[in-house]
Amino acid sequence: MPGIFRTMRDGRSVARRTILLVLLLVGLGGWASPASAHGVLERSVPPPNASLPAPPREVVLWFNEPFDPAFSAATVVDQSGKPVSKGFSASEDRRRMTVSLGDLPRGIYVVKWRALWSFDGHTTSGFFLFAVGEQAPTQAAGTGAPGRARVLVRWLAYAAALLLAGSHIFLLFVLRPSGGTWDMESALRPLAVLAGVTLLLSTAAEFALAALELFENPLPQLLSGGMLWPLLGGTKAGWGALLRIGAGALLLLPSAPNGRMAQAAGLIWVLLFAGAAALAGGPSALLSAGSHSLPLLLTISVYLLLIVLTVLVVPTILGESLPDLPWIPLLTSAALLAGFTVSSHASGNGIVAALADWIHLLAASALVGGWASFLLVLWHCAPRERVSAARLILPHLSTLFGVSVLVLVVTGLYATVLYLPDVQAFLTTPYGRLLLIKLLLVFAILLLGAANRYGLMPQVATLVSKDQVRALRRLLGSITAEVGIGALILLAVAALTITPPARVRGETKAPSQERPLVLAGLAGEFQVRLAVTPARPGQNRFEVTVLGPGGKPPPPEARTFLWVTKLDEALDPQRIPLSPQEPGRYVAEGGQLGLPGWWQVEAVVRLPGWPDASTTFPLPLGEAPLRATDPEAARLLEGATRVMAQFPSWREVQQITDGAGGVVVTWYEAQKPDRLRYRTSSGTEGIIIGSTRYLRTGSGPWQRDTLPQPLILQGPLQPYAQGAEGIVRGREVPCGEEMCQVVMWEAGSASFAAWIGQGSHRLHQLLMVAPAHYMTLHSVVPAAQIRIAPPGSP
Amino acid sequence: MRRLILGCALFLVTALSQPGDLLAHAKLRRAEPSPGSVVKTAPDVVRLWFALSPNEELDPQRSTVSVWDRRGRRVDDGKGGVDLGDLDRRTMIARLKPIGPGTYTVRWKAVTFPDRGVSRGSFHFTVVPSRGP
Repeated sequence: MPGIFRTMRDGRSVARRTILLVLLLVGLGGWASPASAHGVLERSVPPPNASLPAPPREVVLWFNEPFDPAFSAATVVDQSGKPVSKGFSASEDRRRMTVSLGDLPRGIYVVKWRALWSFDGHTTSGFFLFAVGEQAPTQAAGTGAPGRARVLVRWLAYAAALLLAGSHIFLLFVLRPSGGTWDMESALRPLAVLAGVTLLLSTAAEFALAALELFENPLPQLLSGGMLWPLLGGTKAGWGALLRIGAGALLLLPSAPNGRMAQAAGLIWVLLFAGAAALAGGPSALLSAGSHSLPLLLTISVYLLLIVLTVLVVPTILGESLPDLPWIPLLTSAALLAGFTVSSHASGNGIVAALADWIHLLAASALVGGWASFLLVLWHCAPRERVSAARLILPHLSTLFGVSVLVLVVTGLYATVLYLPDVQAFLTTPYGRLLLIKLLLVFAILLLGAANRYGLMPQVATLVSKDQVRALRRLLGSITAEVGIGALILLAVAALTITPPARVRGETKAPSQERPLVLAGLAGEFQVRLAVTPARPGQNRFEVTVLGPGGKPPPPEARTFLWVTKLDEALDPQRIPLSPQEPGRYVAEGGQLGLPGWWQVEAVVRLPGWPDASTTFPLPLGEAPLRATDPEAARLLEGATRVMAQFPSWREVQQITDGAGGVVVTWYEAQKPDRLRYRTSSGTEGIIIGSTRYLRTGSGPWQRDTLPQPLILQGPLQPYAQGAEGIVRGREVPCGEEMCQVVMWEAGSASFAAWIGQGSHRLHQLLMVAPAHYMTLHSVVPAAQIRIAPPGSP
Repeated sequence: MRRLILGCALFLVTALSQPGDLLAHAKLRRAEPSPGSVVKTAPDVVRLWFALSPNEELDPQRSTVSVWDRRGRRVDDGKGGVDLGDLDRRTMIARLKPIGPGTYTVRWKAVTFPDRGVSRGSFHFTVVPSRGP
């Protein structure tokens, strides 16, 4: 860019130039950003390359942005390519796909998905593998690899559009003000024609490639399935293509009087139609607006008739005095570039981002088209005229470049702030690395531009004729190099637009740094700690540490695993095998806790020749809205509270963990109406009789104190069921010798899930979650012989 | 229409071609002594191996196995059930009292965990006197 610093006098300080250079660098860095976009697969259940012990019922895919359900789908096929999915559904927020499956035999399966994003109309497809009952392959998983063809086509479309628009900007703002001849103007014509044709072809090819990604058999489906119009008129990809093709075709019209008239009329029509479509929410929405379509069609046909008449009649009347209409090609070029903005991620980020993207593209086209046009005009001149032509053109070109670079800096800075989360993202994300490559290229081009402006251009302007020619030749060579680097930058831009912005990647990386939930408990004589990271639905890492008596790890032949059961839904319980890492430490990773809701996790330690030792934890994941009470559930809870209240005395075991690795297990013996005896895993013993409490640690002396309120026992379930709201039924589970109904409710800040016998109404197990409290109450059994007396009494 | 028929056919094929081990019930895979076999030395244990889906195992509290002679007398120690030495919980074992020649019936009841699918079965084996010392 030879003329960036035209307004600066050569004597200005070097420091100031350096600051400007740095600003330029950062600003231009954002050049491509507004045009880049993309939805990515955030997570899935099962996750990619998962090896599942049991066949999943469904595959759930979560995306970072909404997709268009009409053009998006996911399927599951087996290794031979045979589809095994039974149904597909999209969630209401259009960010989640669910594929339902039949019973899958052992084997490896491929999940294929494709999506058209609502924000920018871009298409992405991807696939990953999972295995049932065998080791999953670790390699293949792909997300939206659109291949070289799409990068190439996109690069061609960008380059052609920037050249086409840029040549018109050059014509209007540089060549004509600097007194360029008609001959010079005609030198630009081949460039415009070539760029225009390339633009039309590459746009069509880009659209076809998008269709190829969306449909397995694109052409027949597009034509016979009636999908062409919905895709063209109903998606941003289609709108962008329509606008680009329309404006590109108009720019190809000859500059003869008829052509100029046709271009003006066509532009008005395109703008009217695009404006109406924008108001209606897309061309297909506009035309399907029922009763409005007939008058619209009438208007269009009348207008078309008028255009034909105008084009044929007006030039014959006005002849040579027909105005030149120089602004028409410029406006058409602007409309053409808007065709890129429509299908860019910026259009999903609000009007300001879209405007910034559009202006950024205009400025970029002024630069790119300006270089190319300048070269073409000079090459077109006879060698002897070149110096004088350059001296005429360069001042105006400098102004244009100066303004363009300023605009690029402002819009680029805005886009960088909008899309790059932090400086580290330059190195840590593919997007950032591409951006860095582009920045280096921009830096190179800036160096060349500065050398031109401060080295060669003054020479062209001042030196004597022989040296002038040499300087001009070097200037031209330097500008050619700049054009070459510019093409490389465009290639980086094309690649950037198919790379998800760093901000998207940054969000998906976050969960691994989350603090784990650490549940601790006693499984027989083993102390078990279970760390779940992250403690939310999706892909989780499970880490279990087991300590036996005396703090020793269990023997190496011990096996540890988890049973996870969803309590609010009748999904099959899943076994998560844990692989030993070192003595007493076991690890697994998986998406078994994929769905939000009430989960129960049972950690099992199994030694050869021994019954299982296990401990159970409550694990509610995700936000659960308070639901209306189900009368049947309320009746069950009330029945259970009543049945349990009939025990005159009972035993129970209560385990409470704080979610950070702490645990207290308490063995209770209770005798109505006011006597309680307990022993905790930390070695404390207590006896409560009314409001008197006796406490001792180990075999120490008993301490006596008084409770603020006397103890009143009404039954094992009573204290938890008080004030229950949102009582609902969950799944049915076998328990003891009967079937249990899981009943869930909320009380205060705690959530409960109780296993209640369907026949006996006995409470088999109670889980509770409150802030920093994960409680499991089990082994609630009536015991008639319990007599609780103060310590020391016979 | 053709697609619909094809889809139905595909569905039927996939639905019917499920391997048995995906059903919720345990299936006897093999046993020692094997069903219907004739052995020359009287065994002191009967061992049964079951096929289960990957997410299931035998419930030690509910699965039983017993061995009976022709006269309906029990010849095992009465504690036959899931072999706790098998960490996969897919084996059952019954320890026998000393038995002589004859035909014996093994009766088993396999209850799966966690869904409590119950399957039962029985088989015979015969002990023949070994030729004199």
